[in-house]
Amino acid sequence: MNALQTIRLKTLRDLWRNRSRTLMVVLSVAVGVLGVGMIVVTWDILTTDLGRRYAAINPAHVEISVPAGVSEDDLRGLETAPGVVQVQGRAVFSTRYRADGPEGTWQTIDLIAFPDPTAQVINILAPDEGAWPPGREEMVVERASLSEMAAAAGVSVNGACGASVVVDAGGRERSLTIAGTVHQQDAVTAAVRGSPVAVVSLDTLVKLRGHDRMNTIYLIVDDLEQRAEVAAAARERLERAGYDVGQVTLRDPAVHPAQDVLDVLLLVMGILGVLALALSGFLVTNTISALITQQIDQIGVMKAIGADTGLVLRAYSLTVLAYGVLGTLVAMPLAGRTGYGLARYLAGQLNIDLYPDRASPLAVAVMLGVGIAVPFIAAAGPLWRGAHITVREAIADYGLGGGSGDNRLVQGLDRVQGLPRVWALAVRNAVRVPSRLALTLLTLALGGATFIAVLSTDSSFGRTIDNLLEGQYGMDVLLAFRTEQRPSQVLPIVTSHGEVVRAEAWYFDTAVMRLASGQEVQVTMFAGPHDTQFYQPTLSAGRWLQPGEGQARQPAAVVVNRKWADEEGVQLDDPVTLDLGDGAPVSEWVVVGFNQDLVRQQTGVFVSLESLDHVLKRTDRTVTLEVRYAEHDLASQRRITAEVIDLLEQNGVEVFSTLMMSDIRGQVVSLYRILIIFLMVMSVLMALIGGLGLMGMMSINVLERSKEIGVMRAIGADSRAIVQIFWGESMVIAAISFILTLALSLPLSRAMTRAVGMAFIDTPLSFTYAAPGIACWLVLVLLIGSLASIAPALNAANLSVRESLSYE
Amino acid sequence: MTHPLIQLDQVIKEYETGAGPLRVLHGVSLTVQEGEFVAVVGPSGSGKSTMINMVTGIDRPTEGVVTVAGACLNGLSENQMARWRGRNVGVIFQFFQLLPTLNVLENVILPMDFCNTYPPRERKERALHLLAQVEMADQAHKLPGAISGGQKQRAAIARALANDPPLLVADEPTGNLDSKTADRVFDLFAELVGRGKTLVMVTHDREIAQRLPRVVQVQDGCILAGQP
Repeated sequence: MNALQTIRLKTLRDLWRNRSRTLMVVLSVAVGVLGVGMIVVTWDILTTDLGRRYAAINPAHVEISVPAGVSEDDLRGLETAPGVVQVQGRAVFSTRYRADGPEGTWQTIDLIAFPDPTAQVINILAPDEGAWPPGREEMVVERASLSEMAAAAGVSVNGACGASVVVDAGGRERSLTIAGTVHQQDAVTAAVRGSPVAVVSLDTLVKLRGHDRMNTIYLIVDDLEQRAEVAAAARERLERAGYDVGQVTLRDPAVHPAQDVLDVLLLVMGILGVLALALSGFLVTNTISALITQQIDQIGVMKAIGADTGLVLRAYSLTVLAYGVLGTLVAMPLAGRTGYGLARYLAGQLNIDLYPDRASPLAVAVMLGVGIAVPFIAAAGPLWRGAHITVREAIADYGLGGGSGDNRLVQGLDRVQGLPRVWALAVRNAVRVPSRLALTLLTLALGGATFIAVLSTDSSFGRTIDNLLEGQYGMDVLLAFRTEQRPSQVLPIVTSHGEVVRAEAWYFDTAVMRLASGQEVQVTMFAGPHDTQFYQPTLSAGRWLQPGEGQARQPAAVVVNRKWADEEGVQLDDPVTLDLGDGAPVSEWVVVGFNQDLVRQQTGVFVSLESLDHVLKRTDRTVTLEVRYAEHDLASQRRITAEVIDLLEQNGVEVFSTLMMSDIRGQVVSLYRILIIFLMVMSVLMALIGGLGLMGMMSINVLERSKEIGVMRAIGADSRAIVQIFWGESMVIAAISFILTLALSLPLSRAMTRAVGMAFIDTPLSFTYAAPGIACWLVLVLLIGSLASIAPALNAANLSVRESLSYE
Repeated sequence: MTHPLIQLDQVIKEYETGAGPLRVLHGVSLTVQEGEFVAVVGPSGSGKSTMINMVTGIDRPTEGVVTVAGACLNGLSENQMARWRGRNVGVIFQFFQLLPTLNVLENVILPMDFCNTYPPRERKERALHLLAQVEMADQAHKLPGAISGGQKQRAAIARALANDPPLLVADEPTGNLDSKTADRVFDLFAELVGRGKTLVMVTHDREIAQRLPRVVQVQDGCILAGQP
């Protein structure tokens, strides 16, 4: 048997003899590898499946919006446009629906219709369950909308097929039967969008809208690089045919619309995963360091009988390799399962079906790489020091072990008087091996700081949304009328309700803005009172709107959003024109201010309703009212809204749809809640590593201080006293880590809040430090400290006095 | 008139090993009277430490009865044993075994804390008194790492006396000390015996053993000589 074989045998026996330690390190490596592996599996599976599923629907390369709709003939005409391979049109429109009965309340629904649903070529909708295509008086509901529609129709999800809903057809009511479900993969789900989606036949479309023109055109081009040019040519052709073309969007068929958000989410989680792996590496450092300290006499003997540094290095490297390989083997199946589970959850949120569960070769490679490399990196220091120890140093080591207890920290703490002896022992023992303590504290503190940072991000998100909704959407409900109304008539009706605090008339529309440079930009126009109390602008330059603008030869003033103004090179006092289409005159405006709007579309522009009426040569017209109530909870909003609608209807004013602020908040919250849940999973993983780290440290301490335990037994310590000393030590470490957590959590919370804000809404969140999270973590860390010390403390108490005092 | 403080009656000790049971003590019987100063000698592996461990309750006999300070140790649980030992036996180790994170004074107070033998307020005063007895009062607030081997052993003796036990058991107490310091420790032991303590000391040092009134010689798990 050569030396290496002997070493392998020794390594295996060491691992087996110290099973609990082996288990601890293997578990720690496994948790770290799991953190990284899980994210890689999620990312790999989700990105691959998202791409494959998205490719399978033949996603459009160009999407053109023509609000008035295009006839079938003109649509066909686009097929001959240069560079166009395929064309398909859709009618996409919003209307409202309610349960089939007198009690149903109206809600918004998006309906889709297109010719011959069995011959789709672009953005293909896949039949899911029930009938396809929808017949006359039928609708096939997008599957993610089914639960919402079922709830609205007052039936169970299982009983939704066959149920009827009433749809508003331009003032008349038509009953449509839910005939089945369809799967739409080119848009976000109903939960995120806020209104359900359903497909109807062209016949139904005609009955609902009075025509069968398509207002959304999808193009597939022959050369993706040329799609901008092809889109421009198609637009020109449509405009030549007399159509007002709205937004033209270029899409990358290789990238799902949700991929960007997904990348940010997984990046944030990936960073935490790497951090978790690094923390698990600390435990390896501690363990190898302790192992070498414990076996220093063996190293001395090996060297005394001829082993060189390289051989000793290889001997202990084998141990590290075993930890890494075993930990990785434990982590791999878990990472596969949890990663696929997370991917499935996210895919569900995106309304995408994953392909069947399978291994991710990329994740396997990453896990093998980090699972073996990280333990080696973590153990490099102790391995190097252990292998280079001299025979003299090695054989001179005897006594109680576990650190001399003569470091400055212990000396400093020795001056602290008044502590009961057992607690003094616990406190000083905690700081006995400073390097080990430092790594354990770092692990626990980072786990805690991440936990608090996640809660802070959650609070900050909530506060940001509240601020935005409060500051920029100070209303409780948005009422939309079927037809234009006179604000002077409807405002007094609404404000006559005792719980309505204020109401404002607002007008929203899309327009084409021609900039001073001659460039044309599609913008969303928000027109409201110049002295609005519902929208608080955040001006970065210039001023807000004033009364009387656009009259008496004063130029009409417009405030634009800063971000796209910067991008387009718009300056203050630039003259611009607005074309609202539909025969409205092109009006002249001047830019008077730049606004920072965090929610509304980037290309939002603000004008006063008064000046808009003036330039459009109309008076006193609106289709929407924003209303603020005395109470702001969802139940109150619903109740008062129903009462206000009754009031209006009694006065002959029909409300077409309502949008409650609580619903808007719910939609926004549902998006970021996913992120918070994922971040929380990662912080729990880190807390777990922290707990394992502490348990590992306590186990090492018990092992190293077995003689001390024997001595204490010999001088009268019973099991309770021994357990109390080790539990106390664990509590002391947990308490110190808590203080460190407090110090670390503030900058980490700020950094995470900022990063998440920039990633998701392109601006830092309004920072809120999660103070309740501190108390929560204190309880958790003391619990972790207690749990982590139970097994080592009981081991200590059960040590045989004779064996613990023996020198061999 | 003296009474027996230690009585080992036909004590057999066997350990389970991979090669089968290994008998370390072969029916040893030993009686030590109150106030005796006894040396236990024998070559390595003779069983002397095992025999001493029977006396301190650190180990238990496979067969036979161990009675120390009026208590039969066979039936005590580990916790009962620890508390009994803390009150009745002062153990002194070869390598002193002071807890390194407690200063000398605290090391001496610790057995009183464990066994709750003196009112908390009196413990410090008593520990200082004991340290003064072993001429270590001026080192009371130093950590063990900051004092010499001889000083550590004297501190360890003070610790052994903390609960005023009738019996002191010392395992190679001078084995790690130079001869001059060893002499001082021995003188201290003699003084303690003079004050009524019973002291059993395992030693390799023939010279020290010869200075004791009674030497128990152990070999191959049996007592060869030294029985009254």
